[in-house]
Amino acid sequence: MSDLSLLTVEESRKKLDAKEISSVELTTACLDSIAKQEPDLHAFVTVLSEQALSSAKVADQSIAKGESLPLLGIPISIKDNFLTKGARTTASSKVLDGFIPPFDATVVRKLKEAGAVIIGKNNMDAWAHGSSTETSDYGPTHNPWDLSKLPGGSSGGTAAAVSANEVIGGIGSETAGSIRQPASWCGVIGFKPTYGRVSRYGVVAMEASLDSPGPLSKTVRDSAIMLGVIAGHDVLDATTPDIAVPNYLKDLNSNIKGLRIGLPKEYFMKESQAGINDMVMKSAKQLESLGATLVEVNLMDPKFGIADYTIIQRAGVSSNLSRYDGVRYGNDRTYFGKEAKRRVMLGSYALSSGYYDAYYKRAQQVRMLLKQDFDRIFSQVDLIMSPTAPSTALPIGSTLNEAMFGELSDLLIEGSSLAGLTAVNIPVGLLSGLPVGAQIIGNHFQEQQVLNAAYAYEQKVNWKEIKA
Amino acid sequence: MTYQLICGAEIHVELKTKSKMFCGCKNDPFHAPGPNIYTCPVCLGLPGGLPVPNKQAIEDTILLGLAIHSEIPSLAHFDRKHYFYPDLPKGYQISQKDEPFCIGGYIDTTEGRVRINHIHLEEDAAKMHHDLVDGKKVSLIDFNRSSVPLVEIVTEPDIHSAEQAKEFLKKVRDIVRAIGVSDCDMEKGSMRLEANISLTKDGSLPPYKVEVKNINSFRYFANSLTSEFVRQSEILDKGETPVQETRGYRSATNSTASQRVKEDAADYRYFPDPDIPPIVISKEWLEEIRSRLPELPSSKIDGLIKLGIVESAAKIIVNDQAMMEYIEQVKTLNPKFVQSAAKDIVNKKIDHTKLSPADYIKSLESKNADKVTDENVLKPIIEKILSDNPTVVADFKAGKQNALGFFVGAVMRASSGKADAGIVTSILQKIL
Amino acid sequence: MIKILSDKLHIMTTKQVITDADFAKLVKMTKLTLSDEEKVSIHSQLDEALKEVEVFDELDLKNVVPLSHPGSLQNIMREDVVIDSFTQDEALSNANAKHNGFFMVSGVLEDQT
Repeated sequence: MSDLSLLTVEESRKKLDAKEISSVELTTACLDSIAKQEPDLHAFVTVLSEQALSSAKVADQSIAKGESLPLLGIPISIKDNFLTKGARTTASSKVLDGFIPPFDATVVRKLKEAGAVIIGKNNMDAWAHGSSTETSDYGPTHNPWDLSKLPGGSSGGTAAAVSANEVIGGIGSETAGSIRQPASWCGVIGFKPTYGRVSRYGVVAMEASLDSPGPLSKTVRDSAIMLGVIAGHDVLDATTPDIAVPNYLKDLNSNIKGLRIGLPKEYFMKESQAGINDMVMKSAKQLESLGATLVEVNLMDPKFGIADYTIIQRAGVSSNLSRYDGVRYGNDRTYFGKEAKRRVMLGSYALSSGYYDAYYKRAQQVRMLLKQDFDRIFSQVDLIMSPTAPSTALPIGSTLNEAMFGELSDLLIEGSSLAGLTAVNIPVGLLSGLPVGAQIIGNHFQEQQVLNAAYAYEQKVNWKEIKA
Repeated sequence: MTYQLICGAEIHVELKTKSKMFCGCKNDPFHAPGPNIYTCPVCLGLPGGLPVPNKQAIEDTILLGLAIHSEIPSLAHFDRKHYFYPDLPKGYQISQKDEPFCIGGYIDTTEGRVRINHIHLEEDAAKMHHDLVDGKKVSLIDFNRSSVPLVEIVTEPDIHSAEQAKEFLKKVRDIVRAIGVSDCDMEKGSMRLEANISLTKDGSLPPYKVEVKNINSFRYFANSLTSEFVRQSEILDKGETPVQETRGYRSATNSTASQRVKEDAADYRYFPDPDIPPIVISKEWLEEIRSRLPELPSSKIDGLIKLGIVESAAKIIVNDQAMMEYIEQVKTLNPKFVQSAAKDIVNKKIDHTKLSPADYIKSLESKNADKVTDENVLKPIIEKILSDNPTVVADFKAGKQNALGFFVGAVMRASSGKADAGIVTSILQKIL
Repeated sequence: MIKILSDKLHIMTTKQVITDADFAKLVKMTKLTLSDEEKVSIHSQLDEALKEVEVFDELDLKNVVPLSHPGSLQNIMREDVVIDSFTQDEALSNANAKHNGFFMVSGVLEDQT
């Protein structure tokens, strides 16, 4: 039998339903892949072998009874900032080293209800603070394309695990870039839903008006399946609107004739690594050849997004990390790493009396301008396309003393996150052997349109053959 | 040197909703059979817990604002207020700073109007107590109270005497109870008080204020004003300025003691809570809430005065549910006896908890039974008085109405007060 | 790459933005423990980050309403209904110290903020 860990979610579903394979076989294949690769990759903080095999057995019984659920019997890994009942959740911080949550995050509950086999918890930047997975208190994750390189972050463990076929699919979270950027560096699909589309309940909070859970997958169709499972209104999260969830998979349509795609000049920066802009532009031309219209547009300079994001996110971090005092759970505040300390202190400063107006309030005003800027563009075009990150994967160790690395690496992403928009990273080629990603950004709740454009590209191009 | 007292009050009231402010845990910390049994990820501050505001608590707050003449703005939002303390699970309290539910308002006292600055809605902290375990000083925490809805009523510095303070606080309590949003039980801690006290010579606001906490009753609140007046006067007499600080009231010594010098004032780093979208109060919603406003104590007092009850008695009656019901029943049975019933229950001439209104009225009627009502008995007496006073009869016929009163009085005297004045009047009118 | 981008944004600075007194206050306010090395490096890193914000000066923010929520939701409230809570054991399951059903911490002053 061929290596089952190479399967996609959709292929697994078909084979499981046709009883060609069992969930136990599929889960075992993934656990074997993990066992073989983890010493090199370190994409997991916790592998849940026993629990996974026992849920796989239950799934097989359900399948035998003729039950079919979107993820029934399919091994999925989850970023370690999603609370999993009875399974250690650390957010890759020693503060939560021994924390065993007494409840499931809404996303985890929905995955379980859809039959998913939760195979483990992925490594990440501690508290999701970073774009390298290098700030994890449990050590960095390595990029499967080149073990001397970083996977990006903060969902770097999930991106690496999906990319290396340790799992069939993965769930990450993005505040600004934490899904798209590691997906770009690891060459996978990373889907960032509209803010509010997916519940934040039970996710270790970074910044409450930005955090958006989303799937990382091997194909666009897999993202559509997983997004369909986790999206939707949650009575436990007051920021999830009660808007019906479409059937993203069923409605997936590679016909993009007439779609208007904006290419913001400011996002094809001359400072980006040579070759990236060209490769992304070529991928845009592919969409044009499929009937889309490319429109050059102007967006506010990314430097405003980065400054704005820094203040708003740090303020949120300083507030959200206040609950960690070691009284009800976890260790006390002496266990915070340096990155968390930096962020908490900067955020507290921006909110403190005498400085609030100059920093936090102004940042909220700039955020309004950024949102209005995108509103304006979306009256002209349907989607926006640009490079996801200004570089391919950087070497391990290169970000450790760079306090602003995370923001710099997510320079092209922060604006759309602040505006609450949906977006996807699609791999568009290899530059010196490392994946390059393009992002396609859509307006609020236009997930289907974003998925369709990504799907059209994926159907047309085998990205691994595009090399420079 | 004489000083004028300047005092503003901060009154915390726990709302008696069924569930907590931001989660569905039971709101009943006082009667909980054990510690930490009404908690969830939200009120325990677990990672990933998210607040969803309780609609009833918001409506209760607005109702209170309407009862004390506050303006209800069309837009309100919640803010995070940060400080560290083991009883505060998230490291911040969800409160309201810039856009609370109620702005302004007032309550009138006999010593003048006390203006309300605003009323805001927030969540209570957990309950902590201090103990010795294995010989070590520890603090034990119970999160049953964590995130119970709490309104804070903040006044302007319009309280100028201990008596006024007591009257004001009682009025606040009576209003809150009348609208049914809290028990205001000081012993259970569902009503808690703080005073901001300073002294002035010329009525202007002084450059300092002393915050007094740990006040467990209206009397202690009044006492803290008296004792602070003495303490601060002595400092001011020496030409010094009292230290801006927080002091705790000690009932045993009827004095206050310094708790924390406020120089290093806490920086709460307020900012709008991104977890909770803003609350828009439409006209329709506001009117719906207003329609639930019951008759308030002040308006009930006015109603009793209109029935002929003196003000002092009316105030006592509206504060006593049983007395109020008694008067209502007497009024229904025979409004003639409302005045005397009010007088008799307030002066404790009768025990209104034992004597039913019906029996009370019967007893008054039987007293009246002694009255002489027989026209055949009264007529000769009346005729004699008329013939004895021909000039007065002439005056009456000339239009002097008060002549009638003269005759009624004379008949009463002649019958040693036993004649029924109503019947006497009707006979007189017939004859004349 | 990091350096190129830093240069683009002119965020390298030696200028002190946060005063020493404010920095000390910040450490206390956030209840964090900093090593001597961190006191120096974090201070200068915060200054660098704040320098970035100078780009706001290029924008006209007069009459711009601050944005707190990216969505347009309002009036999201719960009905006043009681739902199941954790059991006492669940509530205390991750506590470092507990006693008779209470969470326990070493004695704190009775003075409350």
